[in-house]
Amino acid sequence: MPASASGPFRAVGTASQPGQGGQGRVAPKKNRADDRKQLFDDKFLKTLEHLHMVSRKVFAGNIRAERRTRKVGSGIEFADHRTYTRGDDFRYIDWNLYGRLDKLLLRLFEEEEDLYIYILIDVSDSMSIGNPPKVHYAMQVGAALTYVGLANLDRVAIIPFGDRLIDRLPPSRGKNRIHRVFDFLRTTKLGGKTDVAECMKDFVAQNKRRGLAVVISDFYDPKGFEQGINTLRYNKFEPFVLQIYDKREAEPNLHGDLALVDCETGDTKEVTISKSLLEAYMREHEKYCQELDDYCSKRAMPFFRTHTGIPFDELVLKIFRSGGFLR
Amino acid sequence: MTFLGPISITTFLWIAGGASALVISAYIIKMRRRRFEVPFAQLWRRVLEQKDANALWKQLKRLMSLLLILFILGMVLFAALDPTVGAVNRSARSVVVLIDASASMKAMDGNKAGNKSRIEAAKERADELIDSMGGGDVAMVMKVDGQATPLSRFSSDAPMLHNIVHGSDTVTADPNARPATAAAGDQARAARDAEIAKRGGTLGGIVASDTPADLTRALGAAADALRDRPNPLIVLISDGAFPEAQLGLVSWAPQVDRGLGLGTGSGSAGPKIVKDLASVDLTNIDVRYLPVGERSDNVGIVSFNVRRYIANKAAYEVYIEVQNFGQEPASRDLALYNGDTAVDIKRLVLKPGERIKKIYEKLPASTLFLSSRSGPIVARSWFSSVAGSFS
Repeated sequence: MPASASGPFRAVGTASQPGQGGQGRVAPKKNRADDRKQLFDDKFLKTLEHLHMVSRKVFAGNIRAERRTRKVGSGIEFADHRTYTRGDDFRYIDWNLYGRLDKLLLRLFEEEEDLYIYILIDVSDSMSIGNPPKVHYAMQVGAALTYVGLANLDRVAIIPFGDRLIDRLPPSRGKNRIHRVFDFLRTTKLGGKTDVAECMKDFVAQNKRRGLAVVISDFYDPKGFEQGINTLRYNKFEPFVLQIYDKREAEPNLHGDLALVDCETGDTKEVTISKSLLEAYMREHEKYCQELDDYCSKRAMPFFRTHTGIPFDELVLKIFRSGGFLR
Repeated sequence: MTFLGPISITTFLWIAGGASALVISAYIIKMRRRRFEVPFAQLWRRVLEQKDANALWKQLKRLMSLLLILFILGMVLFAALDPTVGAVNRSARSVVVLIDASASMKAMDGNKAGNKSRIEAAKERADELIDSMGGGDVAMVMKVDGQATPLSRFSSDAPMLHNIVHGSDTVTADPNARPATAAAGDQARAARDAEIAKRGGTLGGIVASDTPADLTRALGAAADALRDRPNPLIVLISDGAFPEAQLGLVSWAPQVDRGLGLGTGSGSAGPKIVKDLASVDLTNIDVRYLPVGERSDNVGIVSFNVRRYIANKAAYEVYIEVQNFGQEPASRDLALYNGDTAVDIKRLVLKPGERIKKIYEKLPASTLFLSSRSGPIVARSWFSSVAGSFS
């Protein structure tokens, strides 16, 4: 059977639990994705360092460590003038211009502030499927982006989520915090259903500082992905969408009579897999992913779609080159 | 319709019920599909919703597959009952078919035209007997000549039994044929032994020998084989030419045929006769006799011997014994040949059951091959390639 336990579709026991509305529930099992001891080893750290160096070359000349905002305030770099109105601080009146033009104009400066990067990693049950589990891949990508962000003196927070925000690594700055990030990701509890909308709602309520919100997920949410992403947009966050899937999810190699069990809801669907059904499923999967892509593209949100077969560092470099993450 | 199978209806119903339960259990087990975990069943649901138009047909297909399996099972069980239209109601029998392969079976009066030997006619009767076997009947073929030789085990496999009776052309050659050379003889024997071994030790078709039939031994062997078997039956296919000593042990009495399509025949022994042998325990064994041979007269060489004189080793003496097994007087020519040259021809007149002994003294030493012929019967004695004939 091609769909082995190591594939995206795991064979499960036939035991059903009563009281589940007649639908089979998967018996409690040990999550393979729980084993994360080797996820962030020395080799991984070297790769992150390499990525950091590459990112510096790619964006040489750009301002690092600080972000200029449209806010005017106590910065030192001149931005613009505007007409004086009552109540403005006299200290910012440009008296030279008043002498020449006989108009009261106020000098505006760009205010400098740290960028807040929120790495939101989906750790629901659907992310534990695949070889390697998608959640491992997501954590590696998240850790890589975190490292580069920390190295650039941005404030980076990591927030795992499922059907709720599971945990939170508060925003921190500096490369030396990366080991704390690793420990956090190693010990984060996995599992649960996926509810992007509810999680994003909680997220924006808990984080008043706006910033870049990198959402790493498979976006297999029965309620849809739109509402969650819209919540970020409406609350002035900059959504950065990374969809991760397993190659065998998109092109499953199944056949025969099967009972397909949803790993999150436990819903069972009995199917007889035929070639035409398999092709229809592949089309449907592609369509679903394309819907997400189109949604993000139309709203000018950076979107990346990758499968776990692609090395994570390649994906991170691709993200850097796109210019959406580092500025 | 009658069911000839050896299974009672109650047993059959139990078997049918058990088999049906097994089939349905296997079907249900197959219906319990392998469970596979998928990350997002909603995608599959979407796909299946598009295909739900065929759901009813799929359900019907599943039901039909179960019904088809049950139908096939029913047909198999029905066939196991061996249904026969208009068949008689009887229980399965164990049959030993004794085929007489004595010298007298070489007589060419197997049919009225006189172009078939008795042994061939006996084989045909055996074929009819085998073909008439019912569902649970089993049969064993036994060749009867100087000794009783079982050629098969009890079996209901009709083709196998036919093959034992007739054999193939490659091994039905006359075992008494004289090989041209010793090497050729060895090769022929080796080939024959290989063929016999290949066919499970049978002789590849029954041929008549040069010896008289040992009826007592054959019936004893058949009775032993049938011991503790249900509905035992011995069918003797013979021309009825048995030695006096054995006939003396037999008392003949007619009995009504109870089926199996046994023919009546018109041989010397008469139709449907049961033998009661004092020396063989045939208690509870049904014994039938199928006669072969068109003529009631039966004259043959029953003893033939050639030897040298002790005083004069260049000369031979030939001893021939001829007997009339028929119930009518018979007249025959007894001829003694030296190769193809007749040494002596005498007219013998034999009364019913009479046995005549003839001795030929001081035959010349140049004789290399003597044969004595009585009609189709040839008696040979391999004493420095000496044989006699009688006609």
